[in-house]
Amino acid sequence: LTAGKDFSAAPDVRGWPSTPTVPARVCRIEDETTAGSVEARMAAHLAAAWQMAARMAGRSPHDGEALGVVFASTKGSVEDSVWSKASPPRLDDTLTPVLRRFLATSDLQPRRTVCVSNACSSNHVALQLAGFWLRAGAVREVLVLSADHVGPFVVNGFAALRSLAPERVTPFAAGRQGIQLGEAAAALLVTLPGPAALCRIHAVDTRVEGHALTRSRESGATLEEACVLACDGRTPDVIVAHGTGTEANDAMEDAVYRRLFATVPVTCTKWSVGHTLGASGAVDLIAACEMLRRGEVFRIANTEAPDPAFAARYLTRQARWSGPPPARALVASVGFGGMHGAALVELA
Amino acid sequence: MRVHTIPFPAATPPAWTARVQRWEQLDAASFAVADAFETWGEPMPDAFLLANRSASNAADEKFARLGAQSPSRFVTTLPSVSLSPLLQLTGWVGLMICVQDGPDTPATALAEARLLIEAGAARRVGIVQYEIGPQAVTVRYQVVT
Repeated sequence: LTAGKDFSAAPDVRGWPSTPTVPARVCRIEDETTAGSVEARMAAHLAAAWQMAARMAGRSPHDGEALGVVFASTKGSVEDSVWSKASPPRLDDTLTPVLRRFLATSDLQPRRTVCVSNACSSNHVALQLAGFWLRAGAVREVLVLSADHVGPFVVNGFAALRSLAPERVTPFAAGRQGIQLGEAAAALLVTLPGPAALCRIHAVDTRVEGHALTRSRESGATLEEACVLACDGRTPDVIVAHGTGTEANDAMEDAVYRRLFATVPVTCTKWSVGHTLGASGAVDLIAACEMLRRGEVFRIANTEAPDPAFAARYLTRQARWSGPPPARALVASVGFGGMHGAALVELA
Repeated sequence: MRVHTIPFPAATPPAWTARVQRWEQLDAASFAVADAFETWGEPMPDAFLLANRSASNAADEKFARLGAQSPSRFVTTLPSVSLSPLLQLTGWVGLMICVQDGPDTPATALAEARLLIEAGAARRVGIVQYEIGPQAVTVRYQVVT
């Protein structure tokens, strides 16, 4: 992100059961497991993410009585079963098998587990649920896992919606053309405040509205409510926007940030790593934490200048950062079905 | 627990459909959930848990079976979307979590509802479940206080 690299490329659609009707760009997780099930691939990616997170945290939660695990995803392993016309309809959801496979290959014995599927705000909802678990004293630590796999189901869906950008994604620019897709697996170890914490999540709020099946209200009133509750009177130093690069979503976010935080710089990640769907909130939160820890910000490097109709302050390619190192970041999230989320993260 | 069964597709559109965008494109789950609450006149809870063992499998399969080209089918392939028509009818805004735990989903949802109350996140949590059959949908609704 800081190097300004766009990781997306045209997907290899040979062998796909259904080919997208419009060009697509996907940022894939590079691995050597090209064969096997999506379920196994996702579980392996989650295991890799967890190993890295445990290393960063300097420990591993082995206490089964104290650990909770929440897995957030939009579609889980749907590609494994949905194309088979011969099989009977699948009875169970496509997230739980991924989590169970991950747990079977880990040394974790959690006291409490659940999967959450709240569209592209799944990670924010999982984080909020983790907070409820901790607040209620049900567990002492929560491992929040997030992952999504990009295959023909997802690519065709967004192609059908005409939301895929044929080339680079330019969030908040005039003439933006939509999203590119990305894969990610993420692991966040969430605990009550303590000396070992890398960053502090001040608050998370999510809420759903009923404006339309896909679009948010143009005013952004529901995202605004979520941001206000997450910030709780604090002003962030930087905002990591959802920033899909679609016409409607970017305009809605601009309406919110110009009202709430007109002078706070806004950046985003999806121009670089794609829209990682249920994992996107985790990617953005981790990116925000890295900004705070390093004391530097990343830009929206694909966007030369913001849409002239917009009034929030965007960290586009040419924008300059003039303030002190950021110590507090707001991470926003938006999803189909009226989902909205916001999390405020601070240096510990 | 309240239970509501409705044929789907409906022979004639219920009156509430005039207040929902593109109601004719709704999938079975979202259509039935909206119809159930309209029929019951049930007050809205503080928070919703959507807890369906099969999640959006029916919508997923229909989208793929029809060639994965239909935008209106694709948007229904997310469990969270199934509450949207009801929210359009009521204007309700709040906490909603789609929980999945395979065959244990109903029991897990009940435990999560109790925990939301314990954590002070809500006082009344509504758990919505549905079962989609070949010609009808059954919605079950339970309020935990």
